[in-house]
Amino acid sequence: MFRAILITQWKWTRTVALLSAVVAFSIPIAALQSAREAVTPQEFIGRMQSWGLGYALLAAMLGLLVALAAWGHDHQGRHVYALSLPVDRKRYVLLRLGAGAAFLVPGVVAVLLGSLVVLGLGAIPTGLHAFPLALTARFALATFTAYVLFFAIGSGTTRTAAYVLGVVAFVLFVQFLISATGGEFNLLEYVASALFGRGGVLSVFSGRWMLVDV
Amino acid sequence: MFKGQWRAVTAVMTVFTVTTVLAARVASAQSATTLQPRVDSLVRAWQTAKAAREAHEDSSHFAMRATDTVIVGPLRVLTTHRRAPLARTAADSVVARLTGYYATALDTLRSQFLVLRDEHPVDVDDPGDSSFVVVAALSHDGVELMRTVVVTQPDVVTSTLQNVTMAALSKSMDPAVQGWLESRLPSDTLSEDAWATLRVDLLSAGTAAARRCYAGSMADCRLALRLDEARDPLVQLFDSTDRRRIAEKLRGQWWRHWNSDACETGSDAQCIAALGGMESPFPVSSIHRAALLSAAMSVGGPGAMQRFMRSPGTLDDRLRAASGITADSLVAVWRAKLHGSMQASDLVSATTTTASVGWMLLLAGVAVIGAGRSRWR
Repeated sequence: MFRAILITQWKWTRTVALLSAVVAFSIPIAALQSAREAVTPQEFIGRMQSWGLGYALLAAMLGLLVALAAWGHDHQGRHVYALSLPVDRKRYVLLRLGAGAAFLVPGVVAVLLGSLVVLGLGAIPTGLHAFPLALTARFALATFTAYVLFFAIGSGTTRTAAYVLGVVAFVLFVQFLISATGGEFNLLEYVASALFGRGGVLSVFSGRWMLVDV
Repeated sequence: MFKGQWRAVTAVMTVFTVTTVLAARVASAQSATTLQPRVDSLVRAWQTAKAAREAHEDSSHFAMRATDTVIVGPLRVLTTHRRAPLARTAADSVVARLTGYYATALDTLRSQFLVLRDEHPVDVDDPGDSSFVVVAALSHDGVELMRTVVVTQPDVVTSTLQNVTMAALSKSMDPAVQGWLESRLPSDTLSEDAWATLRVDLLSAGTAAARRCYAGSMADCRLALRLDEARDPLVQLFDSTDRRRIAEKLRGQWWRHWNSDACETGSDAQCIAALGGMESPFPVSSIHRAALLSAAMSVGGPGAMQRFMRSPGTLDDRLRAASGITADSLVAVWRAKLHGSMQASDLVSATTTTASVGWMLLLAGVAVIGAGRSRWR
């Protein structure tokens, strides 16, 4: 059963998975290319750091697109395919989750390969260290976190998605009201802190993404 | 001539006399009873304003007056009654931290008064806000030196008092050593992260001497740390690539009116000759000299900085006294610390990993249970 779901899901996801793998492989190399002209190690680190956001964005996009692809056809077909299968829903969801997660692996491996290529080129200035494994591990964590988050949202009904969007809209509306009435309370800051701060669901995305550091 | 001048003086005097007589007649037209209430009201307004000004000045001056002295070991902190507990806590911590390495060298601070007092904001509309304090050293003529305004959190105040103490202690050193150090004395040994940052700073100094030092050249380390002064800095500290970079930088500083042609088109010798007249600061930061002293503290142990400050002789002698090993051996230790340090990568921390895995399991559970309950339509 898992193999069948894996194959069907691959057809929906392969473009995203392959493109993201190419981008994931390119980011470390592009970062090195931009940093090669640096005169000092400090400047080198600065230039490498400026590409750090690329890893975070790619991880978020990859997780989102693979999660959407996992549920897109089911939602379009009103889950008739799922309901016609001789498996219960919970197992079906787990199979979908596992199949989607498998398609995140090429992107993660590509980050590792790109980082190892950077390391192999020997262009890192004396006195600096590369962290290819740590960077890859973080990219994997971020990608899987984003994927599971959007998978959970996507697994629900349209009403569930509407609730999630409604909460986001409500927070934005409350912040607008506070600002419009001259209030100084920053609700968005608290929300962002809860999401991206220590222990938050998206905490893995915050902080520096450094392939090369001191 | 004399007759003409006399006529002019006479005419001016006449006009002045006539004007005065007319003004007196106008003034006398107003009676004293009319003027008295106006004068009285003006006096009252003036008295009110004066009282308000004096009250404000009294409150400000009261806050600025040191009304208590906290003495902890060699530290003397002038403070107010209100801030005495804070001053004592901070001074206790500072003395406890510094005594190990500085020991009796701290006695030089006995003649130095430090200040910790409330800082009242300039805004007179909000005179009640006293959540800030000033920490400073007091000069002999009462001027606050190294003045820093900080919040009243004990750890922040302690850290600031320590900085001011170290600055005051640094100023008490032999001027030759002060000139070499060019920064505050270190208060403690350095962390691994600090050494890693120093490593990158050294290699980013833009000087071949620093790079050769890192690669293992003791002579270049002594130059980079100013234990030996370079006779020809342009040649000894820099290589041709460094010199061309310096030339590029100078070309961007238009106010110097420096012609960079010699470095851009000529030979390296021409570039050296052209750069010869330019004055520039020493390329390796003084923080590395302070780091060398930190290395001496870690090797020499208790009393290391006391021995450094109290020993007579050259810098090499002082470093040897502080660390118990020769200056060259100490430089080797310093370089080994630069090489051996590695900042812990914050890419994957245990907290973040745990949180992410926990959230993933939770969300997967929500997806599985939620799909089982939903109507999927």
